[in-house]
Amino acid sequence: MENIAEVRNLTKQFNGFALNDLSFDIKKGFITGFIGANGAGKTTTIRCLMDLIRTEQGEIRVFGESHENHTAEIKERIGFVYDADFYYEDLTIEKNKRILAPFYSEWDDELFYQYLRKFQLNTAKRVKHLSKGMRMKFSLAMALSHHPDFIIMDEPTAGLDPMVRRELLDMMQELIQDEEKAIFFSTHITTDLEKIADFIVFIHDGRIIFQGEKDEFTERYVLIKGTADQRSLLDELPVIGLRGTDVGFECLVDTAEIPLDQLSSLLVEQPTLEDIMYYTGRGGSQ
Amino acid sequence: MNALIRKDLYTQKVSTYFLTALWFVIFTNFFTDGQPVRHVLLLIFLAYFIAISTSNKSIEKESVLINSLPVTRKQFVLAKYAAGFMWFGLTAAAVLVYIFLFDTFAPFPTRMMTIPELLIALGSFFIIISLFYPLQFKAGYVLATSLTIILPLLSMMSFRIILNIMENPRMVAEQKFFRQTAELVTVNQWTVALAVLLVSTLVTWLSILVSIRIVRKTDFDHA
Repeated sequence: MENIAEVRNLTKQFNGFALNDLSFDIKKGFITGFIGANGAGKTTTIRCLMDLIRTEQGEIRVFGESHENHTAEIKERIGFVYDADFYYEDLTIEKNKRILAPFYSEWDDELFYQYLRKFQLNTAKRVKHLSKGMRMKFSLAMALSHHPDFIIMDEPTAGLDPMVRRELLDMMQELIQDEEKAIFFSTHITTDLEKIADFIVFIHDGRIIFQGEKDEFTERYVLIKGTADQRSLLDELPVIGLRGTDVGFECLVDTAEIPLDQLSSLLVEQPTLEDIMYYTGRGGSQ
Repeated sequence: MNALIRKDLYTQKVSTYFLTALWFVIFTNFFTDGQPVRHVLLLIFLAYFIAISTSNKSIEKESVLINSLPVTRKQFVLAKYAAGFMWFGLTAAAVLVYIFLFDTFAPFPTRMMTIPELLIALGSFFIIISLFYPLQFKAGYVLATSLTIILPLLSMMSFRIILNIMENPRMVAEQKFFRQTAELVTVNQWTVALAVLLVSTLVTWLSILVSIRIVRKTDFDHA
């Protein structure tokens, strides 16, 4: 499998926050979901990928090139969907397009208007008058109309109603059909990933916890449940997160660290992505 | 780079052009009395006001959008300076029309701006934006504007002080000095213009280098 982007040992310090030695790959022809809680470092990592934020250490290569010498060529092939409204709010959709389209040599006006028709967006409408869902659709039309090979989306589904979210996810799947493109999208809505992601990159507190195939991810972790009496079975075992209840406990375990046969007397369940995120964030507290 | 310059033109707010009219009031007291120095100052600060209005306080937000497009950080900086020619050209056209109307219809002697005067204005305009842009890239729009807005105020004060001196019968020596200087400048207009352009080129070049250095290290992390 060919990598469309490679991140190696990426480190960036901010006031009170740091990306620590991140390494991951984004595969061509697949959808890679980038998950993590709010403040885990998803947007910062994506902005590093887009060279909006400078890295202190490490290397980022997109299409085999680094931003240092080929940033314009790289960005020409990227469709970027922002996490916030960065378009010209006071201007209409048409004017935004007129300003931004000339930056791309491969801009396809016909495709742009095709998306607008599909999304039922009126070109004469000002961006500030669009609803959250409409803004996302406009952002998507802008990002896709220059035939990008690599689509990066920062929290595209956040705040969208289920209808629009489903439409967006369907569209992502359509886009990836020709296997020439790659989609990398961040979210903390794990059900989106369960529906469409092929690969998962999981970031927690500025560190990559896991990267690999989605199924491998959910298979690697198990959710353990037991009664209060059985709690002692976990003593000195490196559980990821633990939640005590009146009648027992629940915890997440990485089977790479604790073999399943050690837990045979306990109830073992397949966790959802949300369970993994929840217990990772929670840690070993009660 | 053309797309970046066009972007500045298209995103300029219409209200800026109306607000710009205020400078006509400030520098010419509504109507020019034909003093060429007023026209030069008017042109410099009018162009400066329009140029910095494109970089209004939403620049941090816009920087995220622009730097995610296929442009380098160097092009991003260079386009700002290159757009200066566009703003100066548009302003010069407006100011020349204004002077032309007075030259044609006013009941007092006036004249159109000379080419050396236009060049002096161009050089001075670039010196000011050369101070503005590095400050803006480093410290933000508000601070850069606050610091550079002092320049038109200082020039207006200086102009007023000189006018007062020229009307004060007790300050004969000073009046002689200013008259001689004015004569010298008038006689050697081309020399002065070329000297201003030379200094301006040097300052602008240094400013571009500093701005590129600042922007190369900048994180566009506006949320």
